[in-house]
Amino acid sequence: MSEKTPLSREQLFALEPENPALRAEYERRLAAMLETELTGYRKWAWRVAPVFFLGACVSFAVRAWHPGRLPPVGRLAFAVAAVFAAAAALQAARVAARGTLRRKADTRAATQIQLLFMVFAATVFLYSTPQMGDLPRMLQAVGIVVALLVGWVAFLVQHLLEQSELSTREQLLQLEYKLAQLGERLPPPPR
Amino acid sequence: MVKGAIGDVRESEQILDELLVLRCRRGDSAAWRQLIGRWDRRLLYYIRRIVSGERDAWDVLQQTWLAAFQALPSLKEPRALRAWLYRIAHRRAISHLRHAGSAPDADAGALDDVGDVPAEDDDGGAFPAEAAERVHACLARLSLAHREVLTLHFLEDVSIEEIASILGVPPGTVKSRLFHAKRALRAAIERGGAS
Repeated sequence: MSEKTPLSREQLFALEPENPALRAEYERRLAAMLETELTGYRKWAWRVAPVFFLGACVSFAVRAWHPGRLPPVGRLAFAVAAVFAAAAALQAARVAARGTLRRKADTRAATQIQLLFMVFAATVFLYSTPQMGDLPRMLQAVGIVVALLVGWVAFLVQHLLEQSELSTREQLLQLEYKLAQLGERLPPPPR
Repeated sequence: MVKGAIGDVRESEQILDELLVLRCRRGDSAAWRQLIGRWDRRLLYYIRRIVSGERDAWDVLQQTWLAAFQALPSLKEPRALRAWLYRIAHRRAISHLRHAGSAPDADAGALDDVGDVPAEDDDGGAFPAEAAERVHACLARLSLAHREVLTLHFLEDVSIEEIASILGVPPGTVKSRLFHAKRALRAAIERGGAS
């Protein structure tokens, strides 16, 4: 009995022509799904954002640098805030220079910076509450901030663990992929 | 192909898909483009067997990717990508048919409960490469349920269990549908050849 070549999907694809105009429209919509071009007021907002964050960074840095006005902890807080503002300025400048917003990557980077900053701000607030004087209000404020802080930290830890797990799995898969490619290039064993 | 840690043999193409899923989950836009490029022809072919009209098929394909884009973080096991993508495409296409007022036909339902199917069909069901044109033309003459199961069978080397998970029916039903779909296709090809 002669061996017949089985039907392949490429043969079926070849029998079904595509309308190039419909494909172009589909690709345009898919590109918009992944990456949005900045136009109009959004373009200007992203151009102004780095300037705003850079201004905040300089302002915080000046306060952190100026000796005598603030206790060391206050100066440290402003120094860290300046680093966050610099990171936000850098991120906004990258988006503005590119002219497009990558929906997943850019929004996630912005969320991470905001979340870390909130954790930091809440920690500073907790540290400074003993100076409030009014004990019941102080306890109430501490309770709220601790609850928020626990939630944010839990979210951050979970996110970091997930990223680390994805990274490890990616490295293992890369190795497996290379081995599979090598295996496929080898000639079949003689019978 | 490579022998994996748990003893299974996997092709580099499958591993590449899994790698791309992980990169997409980490927010890599280039990985998304690559994944779409690898899958859109297959998904479009499948959707066009369900939805009539090329424009509608492109719309359903775009909806499929949009749903995949939003739901990818929930895909914990990248190995399940193929079934997951086809399942989304199936649901979107059926939903499109319902919105368009053309409810999916149920004429295969009567054949779903016929019980056991002959085991010979596993080998006897292969279609040769020379029959591609006739297979492609005659697929349109089959019922939706038969078209779907045969398209998945031709496009991918999909197991009965995987097809069952895509279509949301028991494996026995898939087996039965596949058997009858092949018979119906062969009959359609013969009728076409005779006329």
